[in-house]
Amino acid sequence: MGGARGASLELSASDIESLTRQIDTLTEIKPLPEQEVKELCEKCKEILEREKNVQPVSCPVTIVGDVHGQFHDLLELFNVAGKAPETNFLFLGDYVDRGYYSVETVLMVIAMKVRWPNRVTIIRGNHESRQITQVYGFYDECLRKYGTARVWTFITNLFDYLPLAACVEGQIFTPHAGLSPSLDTIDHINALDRFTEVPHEGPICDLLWSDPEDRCGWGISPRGAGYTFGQDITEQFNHANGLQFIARAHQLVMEGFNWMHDNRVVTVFSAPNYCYRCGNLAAIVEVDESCGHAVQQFDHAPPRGGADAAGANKVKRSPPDYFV
Amino acid sequence: MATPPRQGNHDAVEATNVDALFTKLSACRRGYITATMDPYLATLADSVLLKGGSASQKQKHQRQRDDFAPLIRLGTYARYACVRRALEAFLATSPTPQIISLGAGFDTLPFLACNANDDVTWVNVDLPETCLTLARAVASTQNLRDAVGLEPHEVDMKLPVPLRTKKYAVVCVDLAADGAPDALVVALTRGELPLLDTSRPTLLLSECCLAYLPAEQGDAIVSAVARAFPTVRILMYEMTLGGPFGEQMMTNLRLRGCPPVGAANSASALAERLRRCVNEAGDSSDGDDSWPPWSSSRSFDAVDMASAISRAMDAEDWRRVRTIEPLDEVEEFNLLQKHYALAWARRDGAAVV
Ligand SMILES: [Mn+2]
Repeated sequence: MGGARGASLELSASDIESLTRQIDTLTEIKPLPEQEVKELCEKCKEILEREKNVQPVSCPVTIVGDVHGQFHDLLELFNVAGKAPETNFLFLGDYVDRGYYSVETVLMVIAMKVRWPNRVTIIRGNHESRQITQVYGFYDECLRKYGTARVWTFITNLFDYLPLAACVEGQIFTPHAGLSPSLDTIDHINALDRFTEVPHEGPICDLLWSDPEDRCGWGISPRGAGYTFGQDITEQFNHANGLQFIARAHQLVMEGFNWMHDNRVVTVFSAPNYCYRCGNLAAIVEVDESCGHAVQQFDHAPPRGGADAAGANKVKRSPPDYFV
Repeated sequence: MATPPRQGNHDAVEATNVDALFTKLSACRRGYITATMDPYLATLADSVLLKGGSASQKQKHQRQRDDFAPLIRLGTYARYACVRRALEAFLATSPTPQIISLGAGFDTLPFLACNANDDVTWVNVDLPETCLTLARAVASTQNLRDAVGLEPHEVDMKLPVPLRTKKYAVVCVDLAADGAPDALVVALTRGELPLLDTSRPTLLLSECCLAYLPAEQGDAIVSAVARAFPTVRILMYEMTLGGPFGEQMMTNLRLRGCPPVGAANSASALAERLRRCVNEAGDSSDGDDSWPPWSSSRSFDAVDMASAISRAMDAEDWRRVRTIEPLDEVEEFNLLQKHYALAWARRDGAAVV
């Protein structure tokens, strides 16, 4: 790589060719070679390090919530929403963990970002973290699929560059999770130093962990990180920042979406039948040219036996656990 | 009587016993269930998993794992704590308590109960391989032997009763079989040396067992026990399969070979079934309403496990376990807990002659 900063962002014909091939390979649910993952992460870092903590996004755009490694369902989502670059995407984080295809899922959104940096926005979820991925599956999946943790290291290093939120046309604020008692304005968020592992507490942690609640004010989160925030908090923040509403992900909702706080916050969850256990629908929010919005629901992809039997891509498929 | 349809297969249903043991062991390793609380869990698990029969060996190789998600450990602990609390309250109020535990697999509660009480009688009812594995494990493990007061001659490794001490017995009854309700009562109360005395207060304990049987079969078993033991307490922990989450659960468990065909749709439906079973068994007086400790005044009731956590668990203890691991899966945990119920019934009746 190397070269002047500005020049490296221009994609050469051969860059475009290899990105196209990589996206095709991933679509067939085959992993990318380690060296390609490394290069892809480096390119993506260069793009992301110039982006703001709250990255501005233009409409039209399709907002996508948690995917959590459910790659077949991501393909199903593209059937419903259309594909890049015809459709612009804003992914709200939690690409990895829980599902069986975290590697393919996160590489797909990274490759899309590098290929169409102005049409695809990716932000950080609480699972885009070294610590959480060691508990919830992404680390193990990398070890299983590559034999070493190097790919996990490349990708989790990239996670430190992801923006903390986005804002569509200055009207729809979109963090992965929620608000923070130490952040009153989007300017406050833009002033943070984000290039670090997700901290255990503080404003960055809150944006990635908090949940809206029926109860007013700030509350203690049952997750042990972030806060819960009531309608009063949402109203204050939206008013102070001239927002229409907040679109966030982070919580499993059975219908795939859920409006709260008198339609000032919507939760979007894009992993149908979450963990192959929950029986929920998924949803996306489509924002049109005039900044109007519509929710689209979709169901999980039909189960595919053996379609991913391609040697190197070993998939551990154990049925979800219950109390038996 | 018609033969009940064989919905699941024995191996898959028996395998749930090893699975439940694995999850408890995982909860133990992370400090949810401590060695002080339960000194039997580690030794029983060691013994079953190292010296167990062929099916458990297979399971061991398939799933030698401690990679359960935190919500499974937390939910396992909630179940363990609620059932244990109800059991301890029963033991405390009955001078000569008897417990019938259906499909208990490798539960450690019998060892805790037998160790702490001189006058308790505990009977574990299970499928053949589980009974034999359990009997072998108890016979070969010092602290389990001591807990149930096992003398060398009390193990003979023959079905249907491979192990029997003054306090404790392991009995093989196939609850899915034709005529099982009567066979169970016969096995418990008749024979040369009846295992149990029908005049003593008796707790029927059933965790994730009857749901694998057709509902009529499960109900008939509960009725038969309630008829045979006039002073009876019943505690069930079962899945309830309403809604899309429940449908998915049925699909997933069917794939494992153990569909819970007899599961109720909701906690209240399970309570209603329990009420019918107990009422069918005969009249009852308005007895002691202090059991279980979280009891309402009704002599039968059920709550889903999400409510049971606040109602039946010690708040301080819940706070302790809730902070052992970060829980990012709060909604999923609540959903899962809402699809399990704790149901209870009590009857203080005159003997049916
Ligand atoms: Mn999240």
